[in-house]
Amino acid sequence: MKTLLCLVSVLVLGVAGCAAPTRYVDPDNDQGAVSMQLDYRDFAKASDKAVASMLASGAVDNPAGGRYVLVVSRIVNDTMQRLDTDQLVKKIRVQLLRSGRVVTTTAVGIDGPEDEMNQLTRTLRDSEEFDQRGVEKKGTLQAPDLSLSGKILQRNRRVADEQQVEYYVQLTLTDLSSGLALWENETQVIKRGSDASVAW
Amino acid sequence: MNHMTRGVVLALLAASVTGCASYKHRNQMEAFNTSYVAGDYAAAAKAMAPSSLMPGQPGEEETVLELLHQAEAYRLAGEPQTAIDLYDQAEAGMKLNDTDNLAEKGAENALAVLVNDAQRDYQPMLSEAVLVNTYKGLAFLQLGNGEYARIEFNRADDRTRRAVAAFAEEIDEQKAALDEQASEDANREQQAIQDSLDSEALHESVAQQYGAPSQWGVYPEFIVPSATYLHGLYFLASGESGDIERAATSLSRVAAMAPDSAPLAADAALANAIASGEASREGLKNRVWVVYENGLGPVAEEKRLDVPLILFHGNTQAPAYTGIALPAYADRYAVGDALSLVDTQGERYEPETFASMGKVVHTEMQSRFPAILGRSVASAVVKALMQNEATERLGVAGQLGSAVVTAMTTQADLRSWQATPDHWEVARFARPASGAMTLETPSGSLGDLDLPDWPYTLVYIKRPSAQGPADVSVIDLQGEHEGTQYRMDGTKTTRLVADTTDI
Repeated sequence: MKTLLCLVSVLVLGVAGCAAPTRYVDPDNDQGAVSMQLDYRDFAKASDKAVASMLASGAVDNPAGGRYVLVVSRIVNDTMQRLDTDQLVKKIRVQLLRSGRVVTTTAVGIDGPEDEMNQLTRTLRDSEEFDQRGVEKKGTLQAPDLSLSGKILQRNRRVADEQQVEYYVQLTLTDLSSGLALWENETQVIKRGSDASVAW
Repeated sequence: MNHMTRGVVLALLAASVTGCASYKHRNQMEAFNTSYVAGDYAAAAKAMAPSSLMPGQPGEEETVLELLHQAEAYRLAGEPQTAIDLYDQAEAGMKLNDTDNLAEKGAENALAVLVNDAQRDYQPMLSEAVLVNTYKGLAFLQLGNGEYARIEFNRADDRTRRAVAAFAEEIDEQKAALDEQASEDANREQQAIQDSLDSEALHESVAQQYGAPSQWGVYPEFIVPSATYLHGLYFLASGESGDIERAATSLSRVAAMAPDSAPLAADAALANAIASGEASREGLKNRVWVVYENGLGPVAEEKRLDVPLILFHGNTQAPAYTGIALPAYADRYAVGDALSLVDTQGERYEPETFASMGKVVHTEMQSRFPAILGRSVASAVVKALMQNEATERLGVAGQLGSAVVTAMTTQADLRSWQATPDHWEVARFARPASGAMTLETPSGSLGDLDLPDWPYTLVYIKRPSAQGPADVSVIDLQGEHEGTQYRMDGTKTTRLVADTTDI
């Protein structure tokens, strides 16, 4: 029995020793393996490039002064992997807000308001339970001036004996008063690797 | 233990495992088919519960075949989310198999040569893999999740693109395995395999007994028409920029594969007209497409044939007739009773055939056949040489023992996904004002269904046999609404509620 326990212990220790240890990763200097799928590094690069291009274009400089109000429209995931497009959009929003030129509304969105509290707090009007001085008045929500929409495309092809996966992050900024696209950008993320299996 | 004795021991061991595995597989498939044909999808899913001859839970890569059967049974039982989860696991297993390292692949190929192809982990046919993503796309649409359905239709399209390269790779892999063996042994075994495969007599013999693959009825290129069609319909309905061009490409491609099909020609014309600006979506009335999966798809049967192998006897080569076993796909059956949908005004819509699973399988098999034949001939040569050596060294006992091993291990790989249909049918029409329709066969009504007031509605019907019910899914092709699933058998119509059925 003792021998058996020793053997099991050695085996367990051996397996534990082989397992990769958990460690922190510096997102700004991650030299980890690259996969064929889109990962956080790709989203970071795409959003940095998109925001730099948008700010440099002057499309978000309000000639009347003040900040434009932006609404995030639909970002279509046209890839072969289940992505949360918010990963991309959130980074763009954060950087635009920091630029001081754009503020994003959470009161309106394609699938309803992003923050339902915008409407919920307005149902407190006429409630005797609430001090009406602090309740939002009618006509205080701001309509958006600009809309950000886009698409993430994926195209796979075989190059020599390898698989090339091309991602295109396409974004459009529309002036909602005229319907004109003020700014458009495409960031490419191209990866080449094994063709042994599918890229997802 | 010398080389020959080690080979015989290994082969004996493998032969006994082979016997157990194929017996288990046969029993499992019989139980699945009995329940599946009767429409008892809960029992069909249970019959395919993964298990292993070895202790412990089998990995996803070892249970792909079971997962595929279970997933489709759950989809038909009205549990789309469970079906998606199982299909996801099957895809993960497929990927693990694809990305086996060289040593694992080499070991699998060596086992296939020493024993037979059925010893390899199950690798679905490419047509089956395309259908995995298509069924997942339908399940997501059933749940009203158009975003994820898009991903699955994109995947199905990419798998179709990869197919041609994959056929070539299978042949290359097999050649590489033979070359590796040759470099290790540099023996007469390799020479005999190569000479046998190069021999005209062998190919003539195979053509005579098995049939020439070039004579099979196939599509001009690899395609799963139903998958390409559904891909086209999804992108036709989506309305996102750039999608209509993809719809036009897919619908035109599938129409070219069935040039006599009026509905397919009309769909291709519609997509092309919208893409070119000659027609507008706004001008369309609410449209309904009916896609009907009819019957049971082809299964692999074993075909044994005697072929001349070029073996060395001393320093001379001579042909020796030896048995090999190859899989041959045989059609099962379609449901004879034609289905039609009838509206309250008496207008009748009758789906017509546009794609055959047998033809899809033969198209793929035609490309894969050289690799399958190659492995089978290599296996036969190895066993024949082992038999010769055993006879020389051990006399009658050796001869008998090795003959038994050869007989037990010479088997074709007969595994396949048996939840596919015999063929697909299609109809298209404008939604009747009331939306009320009856599904009928010449024997009478199967049941009633309601078509919601959606712009693009898909009625997806699957009926594996006349003894079982018709499974009818009413799906919003735009993925904005949850679908409705009915089970109709002529006596009652059951409305299935997603993911609450207790299996």
